[in-house]
Amino acid sequence: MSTHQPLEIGRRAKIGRGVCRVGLVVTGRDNRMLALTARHTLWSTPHSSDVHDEATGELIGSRVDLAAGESKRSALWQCIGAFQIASDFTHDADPDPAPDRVAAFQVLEVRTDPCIAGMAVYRRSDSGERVKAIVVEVGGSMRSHDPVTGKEVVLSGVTEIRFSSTQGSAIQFGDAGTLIVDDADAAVGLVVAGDSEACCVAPLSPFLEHHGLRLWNAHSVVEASEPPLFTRLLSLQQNLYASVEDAGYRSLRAAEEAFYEIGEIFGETINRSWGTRQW
Amino acid sequence: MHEEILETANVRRRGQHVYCIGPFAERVSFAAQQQRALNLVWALKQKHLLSEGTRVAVVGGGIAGLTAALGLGLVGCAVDVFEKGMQKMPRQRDSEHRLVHPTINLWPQVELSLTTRLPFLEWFCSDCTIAVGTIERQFEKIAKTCRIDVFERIEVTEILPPIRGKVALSLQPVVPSVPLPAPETEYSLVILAIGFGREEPLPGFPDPDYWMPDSLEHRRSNEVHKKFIVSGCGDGGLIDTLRIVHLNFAKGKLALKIAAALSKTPMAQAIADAEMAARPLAQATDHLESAYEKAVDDLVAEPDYTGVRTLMDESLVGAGFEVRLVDKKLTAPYSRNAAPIHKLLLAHAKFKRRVIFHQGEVAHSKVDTVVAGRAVCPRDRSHVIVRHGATAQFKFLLSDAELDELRADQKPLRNFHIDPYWNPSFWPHGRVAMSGWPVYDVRDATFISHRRDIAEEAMHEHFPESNVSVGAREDHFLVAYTNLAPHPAPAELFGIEVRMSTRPYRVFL
Repeated sequence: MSTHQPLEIGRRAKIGRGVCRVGLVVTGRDNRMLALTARHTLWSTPHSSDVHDEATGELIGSRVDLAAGESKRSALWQCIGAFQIASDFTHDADPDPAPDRVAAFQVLEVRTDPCIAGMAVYRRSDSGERVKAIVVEVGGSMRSHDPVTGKEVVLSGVTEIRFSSTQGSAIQFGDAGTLIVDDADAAVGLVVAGDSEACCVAPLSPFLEHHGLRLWNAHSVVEASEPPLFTRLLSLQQNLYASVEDAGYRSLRAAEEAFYEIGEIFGETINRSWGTRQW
Repeated sequence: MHEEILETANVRRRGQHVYCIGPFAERVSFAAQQQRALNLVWALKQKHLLSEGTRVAVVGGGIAGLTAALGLGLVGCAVDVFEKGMQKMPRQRDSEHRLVHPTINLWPQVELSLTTRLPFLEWFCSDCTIAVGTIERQFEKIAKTCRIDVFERIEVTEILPPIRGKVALSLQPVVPSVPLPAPETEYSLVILAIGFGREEPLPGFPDPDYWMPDSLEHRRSNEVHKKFIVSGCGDGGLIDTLRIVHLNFAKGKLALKIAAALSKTPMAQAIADAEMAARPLAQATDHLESAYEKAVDDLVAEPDYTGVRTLMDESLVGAGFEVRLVDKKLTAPYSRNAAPIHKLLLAHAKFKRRVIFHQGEVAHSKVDTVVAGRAVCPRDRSHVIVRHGATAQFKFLLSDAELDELRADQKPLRNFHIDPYWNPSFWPHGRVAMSGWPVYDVRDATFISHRRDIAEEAMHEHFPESNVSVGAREDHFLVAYTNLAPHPAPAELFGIEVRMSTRPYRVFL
């Protein structure tokens, strides 16, 4: 069995001297497919550096810079970096993986509500099991340094989580970028720093919203990154057209009315004659 | 207690249909009006006058009106808010020259607190514009989950007599083509929330609106040949006088520093005692005058107060500069209504002869001069500030007899009766939680988490030089900082315990 995921969440990637995990796969406004990970793992490499699979050495993609437009005050966003997945890269993720591979796992939504201290969050182990952690602090901060350059940075707005020390689930070197999800498997954030059981997680929702990114397999993630109204209406029209076909053309009028109603909801006037011509 | 609250707010001639949020109370402030608004909603609910779907009109989209509207919405009422200005809280929206503080008016009877402690619509000590923005953002977020409609640019011109237990309003759009509520909408209750009325101008003098941005400090520096005259010894008059005579008044931050330094000192206790003793006295001003003059004597003589005295002395304008302060009624500039810390600063400035007080009025004379009490100044060399207090805009809504009754009924509010009578768990948990503002519990992780952003804003505002962040943990805030400013960090924010952390250090993977 295979999935159509372009790159496994959790796969270890090597870039320059850094090792990280693929946190999430997203698409941007220009439809580039990007893998998100902890940004500090990319610091030591120049723009467009190649990214390889740590285990097989195959080329996965190349580093991109998403910093444009980021507020310097919002150090939080400096936590998350991205590399573009190579256009010719294909793979079949295996739900029952070999020991050095990760299990197939998809994320269908991003959590937009803030986390609450005390709530449970999870990461996926390589074998696909959910490993539980507890949110200790929301909106915390950390002072740390680039392991390569030694440059000190203070990052604020991170979520601190703590795994149970009895589960043997401590975050280790090379786990930066690990995706953290909530009870409903909605993406919460990426592990950007940590020390054994305690980790700091950069929330994904504000980052995606700021950069207009959406999950590669989702119609939209957050409001700010929704496709233009015209695209949404076109998609609705196609859905309705399919419905009309299913229902036999007797429902044409009802479907057409529904189409106009939806258009009104979006607050734009739809040209009735244009709609009729399409049908 | 709810019966007493309703008695002080009810316009009795309108049955149980019309209520008024504390416009005739002493020391009207943002926080006091919010607590009065929430107390009123609680009392109406206790009296079984509110139920799911009860239709209520709130007249006034200011701080009290919005707080009442949200409280009503959260207990299930359908609320229409009418604001005649262009936006909510229109008069305070641009007041970047004013500082608002939750408790400074009540110090030293009440401790200084940087933040409010409310179930919703929280704010922190800051420029008025920032507080307005903070309140408005929360209102917009929570109001979406309730049945609240805000109608801006609509003036309520009349409350029609009740028919079959319902009241209708006569509405007048301020500009044409403003959408109105459905015609013939009737309300079970009408709440008047127009406490911060506009000050009546004094004929021949500039517009005196307290909230309108001005340039007093600039004028002091650039119009040195002019005489500054302030009319009115309420809090507004004292604040503007202090803005002129203190170079470092900084919108009121000087008063905050001094109040913080004096807290828990014998002087603070003496002032609190004097204020309480003066409440019932007919000659309260005389009593307060001797108390504040004694406080200034202590300030000068006692070595314990050297730091505070230096702070005040160094901030004063140079000798020779003076402000004339006049009041029609008072024999000394110590009104019961003014904040004690402002009275203390004024007593000090008076002692240093930067402020000269006269009992009397400000008026133009026939020979192009301004008469301020016993002083006469050339009109073109005088800058007059009139602070006679706001007059609530009731003229179309209530009769004179109704206003007189309301003044009498609200007498109990003159004794610091702004305590929150609502039980913290009164606000329906489900509904408030849905809006992201859960039931008031300062040890609840959700409650703490939803106040994190505002807490961080408050810390940035008060420690601008520090690299401060606020983390929400299960039962407290953890404030991480790299270089905290000299003044002490707060022990609590919004009633939530604050713990400090100097080294927010983690190891990168």
